[in-house]
Amino acid sequence: MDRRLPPREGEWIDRSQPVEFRFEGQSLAGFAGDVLSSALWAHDVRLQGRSFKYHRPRGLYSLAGHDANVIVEDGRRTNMRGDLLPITDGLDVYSVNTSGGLQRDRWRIMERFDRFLPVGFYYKAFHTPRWLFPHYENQMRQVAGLGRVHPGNAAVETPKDYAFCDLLVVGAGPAGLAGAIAAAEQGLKVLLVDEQPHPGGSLNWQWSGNPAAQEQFGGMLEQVHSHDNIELRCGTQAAGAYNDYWIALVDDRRLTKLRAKAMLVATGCFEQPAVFQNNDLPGVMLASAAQRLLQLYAVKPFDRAVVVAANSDGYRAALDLHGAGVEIAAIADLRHDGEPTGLAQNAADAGIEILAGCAIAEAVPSGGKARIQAAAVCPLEKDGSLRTGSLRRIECDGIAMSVGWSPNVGLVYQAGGRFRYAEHVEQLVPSTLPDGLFVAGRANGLFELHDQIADGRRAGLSAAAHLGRFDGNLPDSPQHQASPPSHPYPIFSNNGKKNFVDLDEDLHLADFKNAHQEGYDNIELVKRFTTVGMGPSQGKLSNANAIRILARLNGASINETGTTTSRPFYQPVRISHLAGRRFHPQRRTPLDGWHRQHGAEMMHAGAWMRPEFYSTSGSTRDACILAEAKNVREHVGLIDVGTLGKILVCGPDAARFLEHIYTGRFEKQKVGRLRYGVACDETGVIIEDGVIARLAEDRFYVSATSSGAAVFYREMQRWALIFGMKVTLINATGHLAAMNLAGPKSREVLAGLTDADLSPDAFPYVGVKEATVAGARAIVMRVGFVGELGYEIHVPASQGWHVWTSLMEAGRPHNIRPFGVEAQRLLRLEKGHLIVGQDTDALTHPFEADVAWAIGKDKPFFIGSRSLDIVKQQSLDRKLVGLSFPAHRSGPLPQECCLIIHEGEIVGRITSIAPASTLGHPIAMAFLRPDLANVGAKVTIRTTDGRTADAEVAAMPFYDPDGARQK
Amino acid sequence: MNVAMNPAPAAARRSPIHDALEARGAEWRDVNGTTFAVRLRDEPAGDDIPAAALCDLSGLNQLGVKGPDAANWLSTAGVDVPADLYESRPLPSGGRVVRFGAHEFFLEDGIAGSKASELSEQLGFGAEQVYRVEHQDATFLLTGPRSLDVMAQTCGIDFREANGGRAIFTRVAGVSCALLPETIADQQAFRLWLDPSYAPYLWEELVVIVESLGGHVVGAGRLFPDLPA
Repeated sequence: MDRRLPPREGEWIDRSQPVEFRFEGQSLAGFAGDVLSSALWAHDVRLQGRSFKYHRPRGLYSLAGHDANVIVEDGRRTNMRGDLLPITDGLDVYSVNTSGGLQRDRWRIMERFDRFLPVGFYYKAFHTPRWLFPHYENQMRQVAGLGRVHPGNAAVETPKDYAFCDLLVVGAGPAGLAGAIAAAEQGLKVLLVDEQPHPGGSLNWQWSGNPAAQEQFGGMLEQVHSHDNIELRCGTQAAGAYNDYWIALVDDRRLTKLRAKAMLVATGCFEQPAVFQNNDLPGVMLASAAQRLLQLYAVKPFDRAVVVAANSDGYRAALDLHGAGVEIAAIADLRHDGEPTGLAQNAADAGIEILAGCAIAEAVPSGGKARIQAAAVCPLEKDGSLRTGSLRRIECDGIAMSVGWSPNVGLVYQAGGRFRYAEHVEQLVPSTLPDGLFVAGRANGLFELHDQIADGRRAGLSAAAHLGRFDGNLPDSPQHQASPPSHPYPIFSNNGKKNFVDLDEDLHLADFKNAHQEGYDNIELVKRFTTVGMGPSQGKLSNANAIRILARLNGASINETGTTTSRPFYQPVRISHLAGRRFHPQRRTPLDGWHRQHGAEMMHAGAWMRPEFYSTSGSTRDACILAEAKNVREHVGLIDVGTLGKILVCGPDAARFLEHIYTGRFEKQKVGRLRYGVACDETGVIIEDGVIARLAEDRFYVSATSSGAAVFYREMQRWALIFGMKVTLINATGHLAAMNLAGPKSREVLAGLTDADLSPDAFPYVGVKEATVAGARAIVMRVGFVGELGYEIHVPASQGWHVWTSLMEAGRPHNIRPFGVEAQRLLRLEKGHLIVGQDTDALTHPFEADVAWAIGKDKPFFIGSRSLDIVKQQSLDRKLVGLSFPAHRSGPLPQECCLIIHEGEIVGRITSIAPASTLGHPIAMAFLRPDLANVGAKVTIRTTDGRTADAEVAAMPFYDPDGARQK
Repeated sequence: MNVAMNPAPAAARRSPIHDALEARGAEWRDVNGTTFAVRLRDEPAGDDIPAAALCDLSGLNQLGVKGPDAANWLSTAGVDVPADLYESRPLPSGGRVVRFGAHEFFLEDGIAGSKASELSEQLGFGAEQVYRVEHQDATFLLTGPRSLDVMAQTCGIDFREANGGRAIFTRVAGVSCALLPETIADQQAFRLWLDPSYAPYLWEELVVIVESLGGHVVGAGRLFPDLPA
């Protein structure tokens, strides 16, 4: 059956663009501009989803983005709402939360067990016996929940961005349009957003038959489009408000972080349902939903309908439906006095029966409950209860509810606004608003169109005045004069069990009564116990009635009962929108490209990428690493050490400053010489080490570990301020390339490229020179980290490639080859050099790490000195030692962090290990209890698979203990 | 043992995103001793600036000086020293000097200038109370009608109100940058200076965003048609 109507003025569908889509495997057609729910209803597909708990049939209900039971997925995206999802060619969606399809959902049997599933049943049913809880939990997780996440789907990057404006106007309905125009006219840069795809708000569907209103709408829209100060974004929801008007805007493509100077909320109201038996079945909907279906999508909602009304809007809806060919069987008006305006006469003139003082007691379902066949209308007693002895059955296929409104003001709450219940409109209205926040229109309790427009203008001018752009007289806020647009208690019990308050969570009236009986008499507790308002629509259609019910059960007023807390987000936001582009800055040395071109296997080292080793065809990783290390020992190797921290310490107090920072002495250090330095924190824990080169009397060049350099530099800056010394710090880490040329042939390789005298006398071990290397200005240091003759060469980053390739070329006759991080780790381990952060931890002090020799004698002060004075008096708990493993052994080797066990006790742990070394056997560095750390002592280490490995405590360095090779 | 040698000719400089430009078929040109990608293989035809144009100018010579006497030293060398923090002033023959701190200045030559380069030679490893700050910053230039949109996706600052000529220290796509709003061919432009080790990462991110907005990576020749041969 086709329910599509002939073209209507102002419809949102584009009939020139037919769209083919599939729903539950069925091929259907619609038009561009349709949402899934409207396109389905146009084909008279009323069963569009299943409820959360009982799997009851559900259909179109609000058509405003709050239909939490019409949720679909397409295999890639999940939990998309039918009343928000535009149909597109090829769309192929299935309803979530079903087993065996929507029609034959096997879980619909759940409704038969409803007596066993009251609110909180899982709190009471599954906590004993405890050993069964995992089983229950697993079963619950199988049954509960909506769509499924597909972890295998490709990540989607969205263009998250920032935006700025003077005034954010949320809601482009009558009040929002008027407010935006008024503010823009005063020179404010206005961003006007609306979650719907078109501006106009209720002017699109509620006032569409009113020519004067439409003319006004057209005029305002023209002003908005032509005004340079207004940017209009439709299809954009203001999803959350944070401090200082930091607003999250969400559209189909992205999340925008907006900084506004002020905010005007003109978001209108959510229409609220009446509560009666079977008020959830397909065919029962809000009157505004029926009007939206009619005016926006040109779909006939029903053939024969009953309208339940408690305000003028219900009569307008009835007349709209009547005008579109829907037979209005009756208007059941909850008010005993009926409608006071001329709309009542208009309805009567249209032949519509008006039943004043009547409510609907029940929607009578057809077989399968996928439709309704009648409404049971019942007179109301003066106290609002049903006179159930006088039920009247009225045949119909639809019930439209227009019984009241609740302000859409989550943003106002989040921005610090507070509300009070106003009985003249029977809804919450703002009581206090923080500076810069303004509310207008229906959200302000104004329901007449001219009042909304006037209020919007007032709010716009108020915002301009707040920002200093308007100093005229501000108009007064209009006041609602007519009867209340909302009924104070549109909740009717006919002793049925399916009069729903919250469709998201399948909560009916009895659930609230039960919760109250159990002592939950506070709205926040009721929310948590019943889960009202905790479903996908976050209580937009249920919170107001829940508060009314609790207030009545408590015998309290609405103001005394209070409201629940509104938190971001207003609507569910896709994870991809929150993630955005996922910026993860990564550092690369100037030689990164060279490494990759030459077979380097790159590894993460903090924020840096470094060559782990250079892959050689036919060789394993370990073999490549060992070959690189051997080449350094026998010939010459070159490693990129550009990731090292590089800090210049300059000024008259530079040496004194370094004496404070490091444990060692520097004031008497000669120009042209290096010293090893250890830095501690105030507790005496080692935080850094490196070499300190004196380039001039007032200029030192300091290296720091790759991962710790940035923090160490900040610490140095902090201490420089605290000490108040004349010192200038320069962090050149990323601006200098650095490479270490190491091996017995290194002097010969470098000699051809530098103007420096490399002779041992002129440039001895631990010397430093400023020279040129391959034409680049360089700092050259004689270091021995890997235990061989070596030169660490630091040059401007832009010349790093040239210098590196020049060295590689010059080294070719000497069998030069690059070596990576792993070979360097092996070589330094053979040499017994520790790596801060690997061979030390957050508690290691210099005495444990065997670097107490680096503490200057008789120094009056350095950072951590007082703590170390105390530590020095205490016996050591552990000591860093070398371990040697037999060359010919079987069984697994331990890994870093494996524990050393002695007589069943943990007595140490491995900090570094090399499975193969140039020495011909595995070696390691480990923390060990001092009484077990004598050279030659045997230790047992538990390997990761639970077995054990034996090793022997060895003297360090393992290699070249006299240091002859590096001199 | 003869180990002292004469220095080689001045070492060639290389942009930190050299490989990325090479992959785009860069046509290189040496200008004043530095190398620029003047044109790229996939650049749109014509001379117009696209919706968003991203250009690498990392070849420009730079110099940083810091220390109590840095301002005097620059002034004596004929540099119009900016009085206020973050203020920039033009260098005599092109380029700019920016005050990064009370006693810290950053100089960058323009396409045609050489003042920063000359002062760098003059300063050597430093002078009394004037210390060389090694600046090997990557310099990216972003311009075009949608350049603001690129910035909006990467940085939380409202650049509509940014004052041209004043540097802004901020983070762009998570990378600390000094940023100078300026105007090129009547188009809003942003000059970004950043640690060269972050340059390949930031360049890749900016390229993705620029191209998603209909923009292009362009050579220096498009933005500076008078680039010396």
